[in-house]
Amino acid sequence: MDGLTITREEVGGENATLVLKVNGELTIPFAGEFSAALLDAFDAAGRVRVNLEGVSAVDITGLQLLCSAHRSAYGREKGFGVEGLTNPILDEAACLAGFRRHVGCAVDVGKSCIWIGGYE
Amino acid sequence: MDAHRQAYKEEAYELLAELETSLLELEETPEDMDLISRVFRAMHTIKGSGAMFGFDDIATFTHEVETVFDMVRNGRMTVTRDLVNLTLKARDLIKGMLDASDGGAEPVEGRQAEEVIAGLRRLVPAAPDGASAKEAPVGGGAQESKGGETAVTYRIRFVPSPEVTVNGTNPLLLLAELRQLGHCRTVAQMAKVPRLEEIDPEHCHVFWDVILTTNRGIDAIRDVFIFIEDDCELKIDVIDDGGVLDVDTDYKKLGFILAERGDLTRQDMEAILAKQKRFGELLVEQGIVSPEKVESALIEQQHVKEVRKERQVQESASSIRVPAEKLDLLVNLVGELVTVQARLSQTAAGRADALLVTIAEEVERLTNELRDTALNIRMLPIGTTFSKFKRLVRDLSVELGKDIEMTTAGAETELDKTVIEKLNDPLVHLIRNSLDHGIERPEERVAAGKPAQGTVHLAAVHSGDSVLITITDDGKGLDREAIRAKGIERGLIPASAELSDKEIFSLIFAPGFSTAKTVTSVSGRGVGMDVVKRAIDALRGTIDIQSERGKGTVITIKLPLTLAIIESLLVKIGSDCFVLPLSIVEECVELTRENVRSAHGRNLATVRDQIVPYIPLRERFLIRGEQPEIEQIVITRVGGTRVGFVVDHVIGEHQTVIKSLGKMYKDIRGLSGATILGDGSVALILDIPQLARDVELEQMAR
Repeated sequence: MDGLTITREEVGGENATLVLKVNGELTIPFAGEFSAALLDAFDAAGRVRVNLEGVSAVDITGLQLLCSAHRSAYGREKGFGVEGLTNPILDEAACLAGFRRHVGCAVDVGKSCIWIGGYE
Repeated sequence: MDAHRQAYKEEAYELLAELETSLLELEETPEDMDLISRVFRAMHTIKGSGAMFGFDDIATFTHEVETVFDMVRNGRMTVTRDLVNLTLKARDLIKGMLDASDGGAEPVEGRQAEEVIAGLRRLVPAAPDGASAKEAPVGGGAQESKGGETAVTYRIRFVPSPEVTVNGTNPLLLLAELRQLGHCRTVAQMAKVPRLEEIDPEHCHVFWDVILTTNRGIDAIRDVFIFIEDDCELKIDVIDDGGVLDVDTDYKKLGFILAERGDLTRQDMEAILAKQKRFGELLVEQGIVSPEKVESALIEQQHVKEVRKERQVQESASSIRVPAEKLDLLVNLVGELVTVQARLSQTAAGRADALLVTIAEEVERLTNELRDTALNIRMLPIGTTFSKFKRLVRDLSVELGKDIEMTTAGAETELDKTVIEKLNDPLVHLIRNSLDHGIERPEERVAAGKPAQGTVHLAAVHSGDSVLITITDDGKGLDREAIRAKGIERGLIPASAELSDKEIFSLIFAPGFSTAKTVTSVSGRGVGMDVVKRAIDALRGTIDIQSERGKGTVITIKLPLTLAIIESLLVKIGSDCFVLPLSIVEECVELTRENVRSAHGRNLATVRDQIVPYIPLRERFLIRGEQPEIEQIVITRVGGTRVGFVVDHVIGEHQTVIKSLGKMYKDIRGLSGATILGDGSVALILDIPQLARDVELEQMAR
């Protein structure tokens, strides 16, 4: 059990981006913690980026929270981005769960859906 | 049942051949998962069908080998040389068992099989406690497919209740299980995922559309969801029934898919259709259906189109198994038909009946098509023979203590089945020679500045109406002087003769010719090259040697595509007709009495300032009667030299259906068969190389 550690790091000066570096398991036992960390980040900064390179396990709750965060960002008119989706663990889970797609959802008016880039 | 057993045996022999090829390739690329799967599948099929048709010994034995390869497939074992060696042995034993079934050959001793199994078991790494026992049934169960059942495509809408995750179910595992059932495309529907402010992060807010093509049936799909039946909504529809009803690869329009799924009402669909724009875009633009749902439906459309297309390709690629004798019979009949058609054309031409001529022409066209098709059916790629040689080279190089690699090219080149069969022995002989005499031992090679590993390259390529097969080695080449000395010693050539390389090399085809100082079990007894030459001649082919001392040897065999029907030149001497294969005819020139006189009794003609020796066939065949004022010389190319054959008249091109001469005539030299002409008379087919050689030998003897 790796548990979940989330570290915050501000990048840039004004209009800074808050980077949440996620290490460990993005799974149901830690879903509440991840959700709260995302909300805090949106409260604190205009742009939030989640770095998933250190993720060692992910389930449906983890995947759907990324979607949820993207939607919140639209609601709050804030920037949201994800890096490290090429992490094989995430890539495999996203393919298996059918998250990969060609077009974003109805909310995705800015065409910034994190799952675009084909599937299988 | 006997027919089934026979069919099984035929299939098993093919699988065994494939198995051998795969194993040899695997030795070179031991990590190729594709090859490992191929080996496993071949074993699996041999075992499965074997048990079904009562070949219990084969099924039991193969099961043991298959088990080991299953471990390799699952990454629990690696491919080693020992494993390949043992599996090759196992393959030979299975072949032995097949040969022995139905009393065909000596039964395989149980002891041999036990030894191989014991050897294989020794290679299996010790499993961590119970691990393999636990894993085996799961893996095996998932892979086992009920062969023969058609693949049906299903649309599965899986809507888990939000609490499903809290109750301990991982929906991703269910999706993974579905994936094991067949070709599968999954689209998550995330429309209901709330924003962070509202989400219950432990609930599942996603539902799925899965398009699955499987031959496992709907129950297998339901079984995946059996534990959460009450915790989800599940809708499974058949969207493609495996080809029972559909006639083309096209699939439903997007609107109908959405309507069927309940994501769109018919009214909305029709309203939008009226606007005649791209339907999916319009739906999204108008906010009637979310982009994800459209995408999901488009994926279904694409998936089914692909499945249907693939099925069409498979159907067109499907084949039937026909015994070779039936094909031979067909070709024989076509041969007869060609003869009758020639007769019809000749008769029609002799009468001024326009209608009859038209019919004859029609029959001729159809007969030609039929002939080409029938002959094509018997064409096989030469690759099957090539792969046998890989094994031969591998085994022989071990025996001879040499390191030799065999490469091939043009395995897909097609040749008549009979030609391929008859080609096997000569090729084996030539390859053995290359290995034994041609390629040096590794230390000699290194000393000569060559790579320690020798290469034998076997290639086939089409060239006009012939196939060229070349065997190239990078060994020490032929010893011109040794062959010459031996030729003089054996009285084959006069000591003073000035001979070209080609002429000297062709001496090795003389019976009993060998310059080898030692005799090995592989070759060197001087038996064989003459047999090779005879075999190639019998196939109406030619054989040619090029060699460079220290660099290597290239042996080129030129063969006709088919043995049954050849394009030929029909000639006449007196009242008798003869046929020469057109492939070796170069040109025809006139020979006047004046020409003969000016040559002073030597059979030499000057053609465009070049001297061409000729053979007067009337004289040779002791045909009585007076030759015409102007005779014809048909100039042919035999083994690199031009030789003319003098006949009375050249009639023209002729399609010759070859009939073999009866046993009574088997020792006649200079004739290779006969054919029946349009008027029902018989024309003899000349064995040009043989005739030329005989005359040459007679002259040397003088």
